[in-house]
Amino acid sequence: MSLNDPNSASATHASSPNDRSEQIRLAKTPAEVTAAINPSTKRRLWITLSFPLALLFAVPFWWYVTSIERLPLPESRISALENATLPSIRPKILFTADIDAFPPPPPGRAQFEHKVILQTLAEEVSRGVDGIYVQRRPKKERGWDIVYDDDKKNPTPLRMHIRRWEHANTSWPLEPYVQASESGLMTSGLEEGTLVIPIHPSQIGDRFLKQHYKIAIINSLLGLYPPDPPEIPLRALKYSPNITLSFVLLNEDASEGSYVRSWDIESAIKEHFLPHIEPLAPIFNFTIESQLLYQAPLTFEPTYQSTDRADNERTIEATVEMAKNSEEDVQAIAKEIADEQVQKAWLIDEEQMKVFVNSERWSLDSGSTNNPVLRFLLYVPAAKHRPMRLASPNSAQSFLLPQFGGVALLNPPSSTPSSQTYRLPLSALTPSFHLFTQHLYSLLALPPIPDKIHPSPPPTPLHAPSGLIQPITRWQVHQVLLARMKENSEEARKTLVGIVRLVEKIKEMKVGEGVRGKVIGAVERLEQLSSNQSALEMFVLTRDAVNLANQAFFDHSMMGLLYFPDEHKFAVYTPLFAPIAVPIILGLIKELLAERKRRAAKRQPSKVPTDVLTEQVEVTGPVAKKIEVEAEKVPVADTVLLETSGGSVESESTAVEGRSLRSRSKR
Amino acid sequence: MLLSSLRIIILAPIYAAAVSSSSFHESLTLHPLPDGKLSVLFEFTTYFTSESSSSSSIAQSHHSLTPPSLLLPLEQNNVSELTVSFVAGRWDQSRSSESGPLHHESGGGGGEVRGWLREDEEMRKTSSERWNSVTHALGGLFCAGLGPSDEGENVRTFGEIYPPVIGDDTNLTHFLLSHPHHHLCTENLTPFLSLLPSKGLSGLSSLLAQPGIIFSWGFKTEGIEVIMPSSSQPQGRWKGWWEGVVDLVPERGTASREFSIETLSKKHVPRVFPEAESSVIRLIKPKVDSDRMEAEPAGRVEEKWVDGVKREVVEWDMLDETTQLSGKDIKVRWNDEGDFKYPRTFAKAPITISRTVVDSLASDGTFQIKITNNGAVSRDAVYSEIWPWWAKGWMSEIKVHIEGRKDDPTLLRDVEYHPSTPPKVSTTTLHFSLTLPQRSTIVLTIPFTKLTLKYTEHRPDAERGVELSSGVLTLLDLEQNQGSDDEARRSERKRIYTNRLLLDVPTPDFSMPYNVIIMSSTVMAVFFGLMQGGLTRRWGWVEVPKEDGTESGNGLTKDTMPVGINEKEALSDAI
Repeated sequence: MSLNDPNSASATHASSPNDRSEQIRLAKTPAEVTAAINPSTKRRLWITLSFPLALLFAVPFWWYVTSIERLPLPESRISALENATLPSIRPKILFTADIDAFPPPPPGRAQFEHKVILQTLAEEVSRGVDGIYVQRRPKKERGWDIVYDDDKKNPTPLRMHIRRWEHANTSWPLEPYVQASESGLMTSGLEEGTLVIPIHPSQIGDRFLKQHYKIAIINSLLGLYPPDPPEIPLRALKYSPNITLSFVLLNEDASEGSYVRSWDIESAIKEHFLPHIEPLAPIFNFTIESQLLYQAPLTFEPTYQSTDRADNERTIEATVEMAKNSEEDVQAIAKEIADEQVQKAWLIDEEQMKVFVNSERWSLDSGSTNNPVLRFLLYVPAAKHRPMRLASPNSAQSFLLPQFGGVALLNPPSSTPSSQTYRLPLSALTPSFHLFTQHLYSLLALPPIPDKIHPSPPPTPLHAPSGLIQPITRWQVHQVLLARMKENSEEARKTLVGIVRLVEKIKEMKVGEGVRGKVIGAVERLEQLSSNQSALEMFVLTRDAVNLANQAFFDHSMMGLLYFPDEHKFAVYTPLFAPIAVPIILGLIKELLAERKRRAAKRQPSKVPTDVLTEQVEVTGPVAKKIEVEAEKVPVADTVLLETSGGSVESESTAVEGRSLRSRSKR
Repeated sequence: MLLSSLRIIILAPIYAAAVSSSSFHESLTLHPLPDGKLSVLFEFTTYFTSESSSSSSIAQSHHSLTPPSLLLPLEQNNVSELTVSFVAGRWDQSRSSESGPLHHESGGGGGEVRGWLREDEEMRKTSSERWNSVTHALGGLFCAGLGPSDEGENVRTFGEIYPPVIGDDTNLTHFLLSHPHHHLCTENLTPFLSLLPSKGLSGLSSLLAQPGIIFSWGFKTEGIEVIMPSSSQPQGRWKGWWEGVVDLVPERGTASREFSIETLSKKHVPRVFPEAESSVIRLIKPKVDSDRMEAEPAGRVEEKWVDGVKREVVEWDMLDETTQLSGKDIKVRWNDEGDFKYPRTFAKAPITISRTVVDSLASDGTFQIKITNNGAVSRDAVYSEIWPWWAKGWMSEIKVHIEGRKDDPTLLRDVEYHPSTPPKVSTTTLHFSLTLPQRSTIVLTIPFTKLTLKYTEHRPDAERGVELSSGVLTLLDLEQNQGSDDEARRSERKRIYTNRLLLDVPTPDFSMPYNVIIMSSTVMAVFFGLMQGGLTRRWGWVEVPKEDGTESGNGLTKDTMPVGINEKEALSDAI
C-alpha cells in the first residue's frame, strides 16, 4: 500500500498524482496539505455509504435468487367448492309399450291415444314412487323422469318397455326383467338393458291390469334406481382408472401328485367375467393376468375335525326330504347319511383365513404396473389335506379379503388315484368363478341386480335358461357411475383443500406453474359439473379432477430437493458477513460521529479550532483534547503523516519517510 | 354349496399328456476341478409360446410355467432378447484349467444386463426409454439396481459381440449396461427362485433354496436369459442359471475330496418337480484322474465335447421310474486316493486372459492385457473394453507384441473406437481385432489418463476406488461341426472374460467445501477490509513536539516515526 492509493481516491480526481504532489509541495501549512491529499467530508461519507448501499441494491437480486416460487392458488374457489353440493342429475327413462299391451276400449268408449295411456300410467308410477319416498326418513327424492319419446341426438340409456309376449308367465304378479344381450336369429328385438315388463296376451283383459303394471314398474324402479347411489364400502377398492385382475390357481403341493396342471381360464374369464367388466369400460380399464402355481404351501396346519354339526343336521333333513321323494333309494341314502355324519375335513377357522394368503411367498401378480390388483385365488389343497373346508357356519367355500381379492377352495374328488393330475374344464371352474363374480361385485362396489328383477329369459323356451349371473346392466352401470362420481368429487375436493392447507402451513413449499395449473384444472372441472350433463360426462369430469388433484398433491416440484435449516445457512454465511459487516458498521458510526461533531462545531463558531487536524481526524475522547492542547502549545514542530488504519505501518515507513522529509525540507 | 356340485362334475383326468405348449427342463451339472474344487451348475429352462388369442378389448395374459412378473415387462417393452448376469468372486483360469465358468453366458464381474429391443413404429416410446423401463423393472424384480443412473451409461456398440440368438438383427437395437460394482447376494437369490415354477420347493431347485449353504461357496454366478417369441419364431425360451464353486477339501488340513449330493447341499436327492419334462443330474469327469473316479449309483455314461475337449459325462435321470433316485444320495469318489494332494502343475486352459494396470500413478496408468493361446493353432478374436468417461486412453500409444519379442503391428488387425464425450456421463468402447498366434502370449498395452471426476460423481465409498467392467475376448472362429480338425475350436464358449479391475481414482477431501467456504469468506473479508480501509483512510499532518530540541540528521527518530492514528495513544503517552 503506497501513499498513492489514498491520493487517487481523493478529492481532485481530475488531477494526476504528480499534480497532487505538486499541490502538496505548494501547500504551505499542514492544514493545506491535509486538505489537498484527503477527499472532502461529503465524498468520504459517500464512499463509506456506498458499501452498504451496494449490499442494499443486491438485496432484490438475492431475494429473487433465493426466494421460493409460490404462485397463488385459487383458495376462495376451492373453499366455495368445499361447501358446494354435487349437482343432482335427473336422467330420463324412456317408457314404451307394445301397441297391444293395453286392452282395446269397450265398444262405444273413446279410443285413447297410446301415448296418453302411457302418460297416465307413468304419472301414477311417479306419484307412487314420490309417495313412498316422502314417507322415508330422511326424506328422499325421485332421481328420474319418465319420457315417451327419445331424444334422437343423445338417446337416454335407461329404457322401460311393456312387452306382450306369448311365453310370459300367465300368473300374477308380473315378472319384470332386464333384457340381456341376445345373439342369433331368434331375438326379442328389444334393446339390451331395457327394463321389460312382460305380459301374457291372456292377461291383458284383466280388470286390475293397470294396477299390476303400476306395482311391477314401481317395484322395479325402486330397486334399479335407488334414491341414493350405493355407498363405497371399506372392503371395496378406491377408485382407480386402471385395475388389474389376477387369477391364480394354487396347488398346495404338486410334487406329491394329484394336482391341477391346467385350467380353462380363458373360457372361464370369457364366460364369467367379461360380461360383467366389459360394460364397465367407460369407468374402469381392466387388464387380466392369470398364472398357475405348483407349489403354494400353507404357513399353518389346518385342523382335522368333523364338519359343523348344524350343517350335518341340515344335510340330514335334506336327505330325508330326498328319501321321501324316492322310496327305492332309502337304503342308499341312509348309508350316505351315516357317511356324512362321520365325515371329517381339514378345517380352516377364521383366524387361519386371515393368514391364509401368504403373499410374501406366493407370487400372486406380476407387479409389472402400479395398478391396484384384485386377486382371485383358487386353492387346490394337497392330497393329505383333502377335503379342506372353511369352518364357517354356512359352509361357504370361499372368503373375501377386503381390498385384496377372494379365495375359493377346490377339492378334487377323493376317489381318483393319487398319482393323477387334473385339467380343469370350464364346467369344473363354474362354481368357483360364480363365487369370484360375486367377490368382484363386492370388491368394486357394483350394485347387484335387485331381487325384484327376474333373470332375463331366453329368447324362446327352446333355449335353456342360462345358469350364470346376469351380465351387468345399464341400470347398474348407471348406479356405478353415480357412486364413483360422488366418491371422486369428494376425493378431489378433499385433496384440493389438503393442498391449500399444506401450502399454507409449510412456508418453504414451492408452488410452481405446473402445480398451479393442475390445481386450477381440477377446480375448473369440479366447477363445470352441472345437472344438465349426462352421468358419464359428469363422471369423466370428476375422474379427471381427482386425477389432476392427486398429481398436484404428489408433484415432485413441491418438495425442494435441498433443504437447509436456518442454522446451517447462518453457519455458512457468518464467516463471510461478519468480517465484512464490522468495518462497514464501524466506518459508518465513525462518519456519523464526525458529522455530528462538525455540526456542533458549526453551531458554536467561537470555538472553531485553529488546527485542521483536530477538526478532520475523528479523534474522540481525552486523547483528542490532549493533542489539541499539545498542538497549541507547540506551534511549529516536526510533522508526521498520520494514517488512520493501524495495519502495515512498517512497510510504509520508507515511503512515508520520503514524504515527510520532503515536506520538512520544503518548510 | 356350489362347490359340492363338483362331485357330479367329472374332473377330466389326464395322464402326462402334454396339453400346454410350455415345457420345463432342469439340470444340475457337477464338474470337479483339478485344484480340489467342484463347479456346480443349476440350469432351469422353460420353453413357452406367445398367446395372444383373446379377442376381447381387455388385455389378457395367461401363464402356467412361465413367470408373469418376468415376461410381462419384457412383452410390454417389446424386448426381443434379454440377459441378466451377476457374478461374485473371481474365476481362476490358471488353477481350474478352464477359461471360464461352466455356464458360458455368465458375464465377467458384477452385474450386467444386455438385450435386443425390437423397433416398432406403433410404440410411443423410444427404444432407450423402453430399455430404461425394462431394466428398472428387472432391477426391482431382482432387488438390485440394474437401471442406468444416466442415459450415457448405456452401451450400444456391443451388438456384434452378443449377436441375437434368433439370428436376424434387422429392426433390433442392442443395449448393454454394465454394473461392475454390483455384488451377487442373498437378495438376488430369492427372486430368482420365485421365477421358477418349482419355487425352490421341489425338484433340483430345492437344493438351491438354501442361501446359508450356497452363499458360502467361492465363485458364484446367477443369471437369466430370455428369448421372447416373435412372429417368425413362435416359441420363446427363458433360462435361469446358478453356478458356484465349492471347496471339496478344507483350506487348512487335508481331507479326501470325495463328495455326494448330501455333503454338498445337506439334502438327499429331492423329489421330482412333476411338471419337469426333464430333470437330470450330470457329472463331467475331470481331465485328469477320470479313470479313477467312481460314482454310485452308476449313471449313464456318454462322451461329450465340453469346451473343446472330449469328456466323459455321467448322467442320472431323476424322472426315471426304475432308478427312483429321489430320497437317495449320489456319491462320487476317487479310487485309491486318500487325502487330496494339491497338484504341482495344472493343465493350461485353452485361452487365458488377464488384465492389470502397470505404471500406475495417481493420474495415469497403463492397461496391460495378456492373452495366452495355449492351443496349437492361431486364433482370431476381438477384444472389447468398456471404460467410463473419465478413463481416457491414449490411442496413439497402443502397442501389441508377443511376449519376449518386439512389437508386431500385424497382430492388431483393426481397432473400433467409440470415444466418450466428457464431461457428460458416457462410455468409451473399444474393439480390437486380434490374431492370437499359437502357443504364445500377446500383450496389449493401452496407456490411459484418469480425468478428474466431478465432486458429485464419486461413489459413496470413493476411497475404495472404482470398478472397471471386465474386458471381453470374443472368439470368431468357433466351429460346431464334428469334422473339425482343431479340437480347441470345437467349443461353445464364445466369450472369455477378464477379471474386473479396481482402479483407484484421486479423491478430493470431501470436507473441502466447508473449508473452501470458510477460506474464501476470510479472503473476501480481508480483501474487503483493505479496500474499505484504503478508500476511506484519511491522511494528515501531526505535529510532534521535540523532547530535547535536537533534530536528528536523517529525520527518522522515534519522534518522527510515521504512526497510525490508532497509535495516538502511544503518541500521547510519548508526549
